[in-house]
Amino acid sequence: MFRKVLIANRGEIAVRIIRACREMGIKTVAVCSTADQDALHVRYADEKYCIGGPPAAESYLKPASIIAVAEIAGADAIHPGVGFLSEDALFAEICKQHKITFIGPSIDNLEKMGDKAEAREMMAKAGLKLVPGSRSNRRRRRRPVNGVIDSPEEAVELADKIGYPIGIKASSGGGGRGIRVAYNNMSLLNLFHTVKSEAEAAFGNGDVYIEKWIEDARHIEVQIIADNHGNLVHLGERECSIQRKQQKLVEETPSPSLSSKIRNELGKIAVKAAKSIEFSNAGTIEFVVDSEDNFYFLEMNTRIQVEHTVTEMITGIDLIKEQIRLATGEELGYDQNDIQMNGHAIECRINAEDADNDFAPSPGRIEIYTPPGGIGIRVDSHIYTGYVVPHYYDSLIAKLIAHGRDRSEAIARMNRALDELTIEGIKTTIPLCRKVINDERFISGVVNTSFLEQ
Amino acid sequence: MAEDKSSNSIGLLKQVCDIMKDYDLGSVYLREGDITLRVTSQHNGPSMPPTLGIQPGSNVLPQAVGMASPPSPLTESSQESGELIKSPMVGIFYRAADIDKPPFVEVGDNVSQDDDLCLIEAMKIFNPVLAPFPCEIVEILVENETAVEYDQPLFRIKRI
Repeated sequence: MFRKVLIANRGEIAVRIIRACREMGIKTVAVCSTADQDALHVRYADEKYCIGGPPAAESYLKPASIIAVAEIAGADAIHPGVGFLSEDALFAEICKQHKITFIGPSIDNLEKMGDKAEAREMMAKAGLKLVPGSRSNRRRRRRPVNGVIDSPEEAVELADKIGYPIGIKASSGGGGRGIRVAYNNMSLLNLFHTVKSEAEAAFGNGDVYIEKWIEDARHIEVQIIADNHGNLVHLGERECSIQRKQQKLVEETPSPSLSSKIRNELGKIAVKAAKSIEFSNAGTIEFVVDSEDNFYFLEMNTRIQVEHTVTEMITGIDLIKEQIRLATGEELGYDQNDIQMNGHAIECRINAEDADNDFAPSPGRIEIYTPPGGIGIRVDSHIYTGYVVPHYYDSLIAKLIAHGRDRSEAIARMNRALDELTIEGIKTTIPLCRKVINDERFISGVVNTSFLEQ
Repeated sequence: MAEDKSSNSIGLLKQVCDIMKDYDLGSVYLREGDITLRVTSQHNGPSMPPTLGIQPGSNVLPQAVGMASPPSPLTESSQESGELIKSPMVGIFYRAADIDKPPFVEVGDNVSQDDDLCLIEAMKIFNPVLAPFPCEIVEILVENETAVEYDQPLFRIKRI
């Protein structure tokens, strides 16, 4: 087992990792920027080192500083958490060269799944369906153009084969930007030029691709856990359809919208796909699911995810501890039949944001913080009364998780916990989460990615 | 043999330049084997042509010893007179270019702008800390070969 782990992250995930290490008897090393000197992860760790200025590029994204601390402190492993360097194959390679274990998937996994075009191709080979479109067109695969469509005529020809509606998307876009939907040939011809010139102006790159537009799409992902010896299981799915600005807000497991037949298929095919790339450690395969339960591969996240907590609540498996244990080379020690799902879990993300003002960040001093408690409630957070939320980083300040015997008990507990939770001094997503949890559509389990827009 | 060394050095110089670009470093002091390399970027700080020297001598890098105590909350307005030079990065603080070399500076020395004051080693790369202006070294605040954090005061200086 590792003697000392450096946590190359901040916020609630750093606190989460330190907690796992402490329970395992592993010493912890925190790194922080000058803006995080008073952060909880710094207080909880056995050692702390300030590594740079507030912008992440000067601190949490600086491999040289993080490796220097690992060497000074004598850490034998680094947990990268989520975001920052967690999916950076080069950083994992640097760790290896310095004989420090990177707690996460193999360098090969990070490289292949990090290249989104290569990931799609590998997953298609493993049997996963891709959203039909120019990027999934096998005949085009030999061209290293990532499905780029050059002319509106070419777009119309392909659209006729796939069927409308068709999404026209900027290759350099993301987070919902640079996307238009065409419902017939005429609108496709017009919008093609619009998206192209908008992409040119916004991203400096006018490349566009087209694919089938999935209406009432759901975002469902499957948790994978694997050792370095080829043993691999899935830990069920997570329903992550409730999003604001393409960012998840409420997640739950099991998904209320999947039949057990589709759930089994999804689990099996995710395991097959992960095995095909010899995946190791923790990762997630993300799918977009249409109203007829067709599921298409979106991407694979080669790291722990923010919403891993709901999976932990119903499986009883501590995913961070598993990541650490499996990174030492230990065998998984259980198979798919040993995984028992118990009840239902929901997570609400509490962000320092003003939901009434287009989710503008709301940094500042927290005057009062009173976390909820009681049976079935879990809070993963790094805030405290008097803590000043810095404006440099992600707005996530707490994850509120409710676990119940069934979905209705989990919803009732979440409602109670949202009422108990008090955060004063800054704006948060607590009122928005309360609205979602009490929305008729949510209660009946009918959700999709445009839930908050409707 | 000399040719081998020369081509090795050019390769090393290229690698160092790439690393400087990737990590936006102003200047780099690197010693690998019997090659010593010092490169200063023209984009950061004063312009200086890259210099490459092959020095005979030990291949042994100084060993890091332990962690410095956490930085004391020194401020610019402490009772002591003068200004502080703080560490630009986390790493190991070296007062000299080599174990058998004299320190770059001693208390009481007067130095010119861009004179070396110390080296901070991170990931086997030795980064020089330069004098920001002509000054006198009033106090050296860190023990040789100890770890320093980002922003930790290293020297107290007085403008001259």
